[in-house]
Amino acid sequence: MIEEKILFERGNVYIHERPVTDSKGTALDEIGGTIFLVENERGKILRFIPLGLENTNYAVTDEWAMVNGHSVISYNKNGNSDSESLSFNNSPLLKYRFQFRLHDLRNIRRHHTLHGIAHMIFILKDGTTLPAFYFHLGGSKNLLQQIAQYLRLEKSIQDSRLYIIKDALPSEPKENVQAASTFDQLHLFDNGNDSMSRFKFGHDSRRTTMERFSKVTHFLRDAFLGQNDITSTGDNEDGGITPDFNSLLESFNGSCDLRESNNDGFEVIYKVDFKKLPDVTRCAPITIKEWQALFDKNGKIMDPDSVKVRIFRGGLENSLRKDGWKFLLNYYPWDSTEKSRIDITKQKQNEYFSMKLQWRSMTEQQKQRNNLFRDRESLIEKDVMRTDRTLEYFQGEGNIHLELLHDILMTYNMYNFDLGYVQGMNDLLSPVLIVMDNEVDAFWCFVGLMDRMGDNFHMDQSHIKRQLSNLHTLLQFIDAELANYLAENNSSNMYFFFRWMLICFKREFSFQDVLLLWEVIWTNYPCKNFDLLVCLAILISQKTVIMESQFGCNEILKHINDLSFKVQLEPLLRQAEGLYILLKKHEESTPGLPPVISSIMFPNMKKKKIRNFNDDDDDESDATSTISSTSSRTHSPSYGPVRVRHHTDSHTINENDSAVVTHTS
Amino acid sequence: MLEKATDRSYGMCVGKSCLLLQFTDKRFQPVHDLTIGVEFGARMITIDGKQIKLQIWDTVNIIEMSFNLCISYYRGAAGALLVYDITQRHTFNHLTSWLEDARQHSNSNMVIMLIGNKCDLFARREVQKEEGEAFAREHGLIFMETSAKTAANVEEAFINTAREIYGKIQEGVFDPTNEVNGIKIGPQHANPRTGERPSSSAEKGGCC
Repeated sequence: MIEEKILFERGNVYIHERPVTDSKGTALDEIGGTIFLVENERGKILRFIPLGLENTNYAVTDEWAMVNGHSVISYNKNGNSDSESLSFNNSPLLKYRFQFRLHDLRNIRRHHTLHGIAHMIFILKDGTTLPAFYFHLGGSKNLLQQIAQYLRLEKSIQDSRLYIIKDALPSEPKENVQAASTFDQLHLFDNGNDSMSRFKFGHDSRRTTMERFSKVTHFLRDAFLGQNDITSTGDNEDGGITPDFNSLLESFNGSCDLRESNNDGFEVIYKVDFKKLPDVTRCAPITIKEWQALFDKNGKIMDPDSVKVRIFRGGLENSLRKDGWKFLLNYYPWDSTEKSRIDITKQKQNEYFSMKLQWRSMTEQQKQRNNLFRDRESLIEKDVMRTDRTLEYFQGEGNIHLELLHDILMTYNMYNFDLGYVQGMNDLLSPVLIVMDNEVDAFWCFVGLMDRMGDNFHMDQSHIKRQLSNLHTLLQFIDAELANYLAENNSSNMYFFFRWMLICFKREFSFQDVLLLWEVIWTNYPCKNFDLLVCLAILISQKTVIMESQFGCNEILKHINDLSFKVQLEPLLRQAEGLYILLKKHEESTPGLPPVISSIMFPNMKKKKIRNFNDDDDDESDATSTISSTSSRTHSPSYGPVRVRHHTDSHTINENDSAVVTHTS
Repeated sequence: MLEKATDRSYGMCVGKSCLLLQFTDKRFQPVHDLTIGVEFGARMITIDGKQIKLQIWDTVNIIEMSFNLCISYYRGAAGALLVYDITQRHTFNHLTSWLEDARQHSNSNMVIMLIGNKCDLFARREVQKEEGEAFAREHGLIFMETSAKTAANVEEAFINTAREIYGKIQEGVFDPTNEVNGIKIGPQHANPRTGERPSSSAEKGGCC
C-alpha cells in the first residue's frame, strides 16, 4: 500500500447528472459522495468517491488512474482479470468514481445557485470535463483555497467564475505547433515561429478573409473585455450544470457598431447591433385537456400553426406524444379528421405488412445473390442488439422490442432501398418506437423522421458536412472571434458536432430531454435550421473555456464530447431562440444579413431577395446548398447588404464559401 | 463476442470499444451503444519505471472514413491498434485498405499493432492465427490475438504498443518535444533529452 496523506476531505458532495439506477434497481437522480484531496508518491490527487463505494478497495496502490471519456476510474493493479470476480464492477456507481492528478487540471469553474449551493466543475488539460460537484453543505471555497496552495489560480477576466490554472498553460501555445505543421505542409510560409506573423502575411485567401473577420471582431472583443463583472444570470435554481450563457450574453452586450473606415481600404458598411439576447418565454408542456380543445367536432386540428408554435414553446405531455408525433412526423396530415385518420391507419397498416412480407419471404438463395441486402441485414442485426439496451424498454435477453426494432429497420430498407440502412438510424428509431409502442405507427413515424434526416445518412456524407460547414459560417457571423479560434486550431470543420448533428442530439441529452428537443425541432418553428442554432448556443457557451484553456483540436473535440448529458435543455432552447430572434431582426432590417448567412437561415426569403436584386438570377436550387453561387451574386452592386469594400483585387471567399466580405470595385 | 452472438448466426463488430473498456476499466461490457464519432479512454501505465499516460481514441466505424477527417484522427497519434475479428473473415479482408489509409495519413513512424480479437470464440474461428501473423510480417506490424471478453492479451496489446513507442522515443525516432508526434512530456519531470515521463497517445481503429 502506498502511503497517502489526506489534505482535504468533504462529504455531502453530489453529482446531479443523468438519472441512474443502482444495483437494487432504485433510480437515483443524484449521487452523493466525498471529495478528497490526497497526496501520495504520485503527487496530489483529487478524488470523488460515491457513497456505497467507500469500502471497495480504492486501489491506492494502483498505477492506473484513468480518465475514461466520462469518468476517471481506478482499480487494483493486482485485481483478478477473471470476469466473474469483477462482478462488483457492474455497480452503476462505479463510473462516478473520479480521480485525477492535480497537475492535469486546466481550469475550474465555480458557480453558486440561487439557493447558495456552490458547484465546481473541473476541466482537465486533455479536454476532459468532469460533472459538476455540488457542495450541499459548503466547502467548495475551502477546496479552492486548498488547490490554490499548490497551483497558481487566476480568475478569468471574461468570466469571474472561471479559474484558470496558470501553471497549466503551455509556455508556447500548442496551437502554434499544430498550426505550424499544417502550414508547413502547405508550403505557404517561410520559416518562422510566430503564428501571428504567419497569419498576417499569409497569401491564402482564407487567411485574408479571416483577418478581415478579426477586424470586425475587434469591436466585439473590446466590448467583451469591457465586461468584467457580469451578474451571474447564468446561474439558476434548476441545478445541474449551467452552460455559461453569460459569455454568450456578454459577447452581445452593448451596441457594437461595426462601422469601420480606415486607410487600408476597408469599409464595413453594415452595423451589427447585437444587444443582449432577447428574453424568451417557454411554457409547460401541453396537457391532455389543452390538447383536446385543439380539435373541432370532426377531430380536425383547428389551427395547426398555433399548435406547432405551442409545441415549440413547451412540448407535449408524455401521454400526448403518441398522438402528437404522428402529426409532427407527417403520418397524419395536419388537416385530417378523425375519420380520415382511421382510414389512413388502416391503409398504412396494409402497406407496412406487405413491405414486411417482401423481405420476410426472401429465400436463402435469393439473399445469396443480393450482397447489398445481406450486408444490410447483418448490420441491422448487429446494431439492434446494441441500441439503447440500458433503457428499460430494450433490456433483457430476447426482448420482444428488439425484434420490432429489427423488423422496422428491415422494412424501411425495403421501403427506401436507395438509402437502405446506415448506422445511427437505429438510434433515431429507438425513441420513436418507445413513444409509439406499436410497430406500424413507429414505422410510419420513422419514415417521416427519415424524410427530415435521411440526407444525413448518405454515404458520401456531403449533407452532414455541409451542415457542419454552415454551422461554422454562422459562427463566423455571430462570434467571429470564436470562429477564428476554431479555424486556427484545425477545428473549422466542426467535426466535434458530428454525432450531435448526425442523430439530432440523441446521445447528448437524457431520454426525456431528447423527446422534448425533437418535438421542438420537428415543429419547423421558428425555422427549419433550429438545430444549428442549438449547436451554436452550446458552442458559444463554451467559448471562454475553450479559448482561455487554449484548447487545441483534440481537446476541443474531447471537451465537446464530454458535454453530453451535461447541458440543461431549457436554458439552451431559450438561447437558441434568442439567437434566432436577433438573426431574424437583422434579416428584416436594412441592409439585412450577409447573403451567405441569409441563405442558410432564411433560404426562402433569400431566394426572393435575389430575384428582386439580380436580373440574371434563374437559379432555383436549394439555397443552402449553393452558397458559393449566392456569394458570387453579391458582386451585384445593386444589392447592398453587409459588404466590405476594398480597392484592391482581393480574394474573399474562404474554403467554406462563407465570405461575408466581398470586393465590389 | 456479444453474449447474443453465440446464440445466433451473426457476429457483432470487431470489438474496438470492448477492448478499450477492458483495458481502461478492466471489465467486459458486451452491450454498449455503437460508436459514433470518437470516444476517449486513458490509462496510466508504467514502463521502465516511467509513468506514461496512454490516451486512446476509439474511433469510428467504417462509415465515417469518408469524412476526410482521417488527417485529424491520425495526426498526433504515436500508435494505432488495427483490430479485426477472428470469427468474421470479411473484417480481416478489409485490413489492407484500412492500413493504406492509416499509413497515408499518419506519421510514418506510427507504431501499428494488428489485433485479432475474440480469440475466446475459437470454435467459430474463420481467420487462422498464422494468417494474422503472415499479414503482420508482410506489413511490418506487431501482431497479437486478444479477447476483450476474457481479457486475454488485452493488457499486453496496449502495453506492447506503448513499449514500442517508448522504444522509438529512446532511439530518437520520435521527438517527444514535438506534439505532432502525439507525445507530450509531463510537466513535473520534463526532460526532453531522455524522454522522461512522456505521455504517449495511442490511437486505435478497425473495421466493422
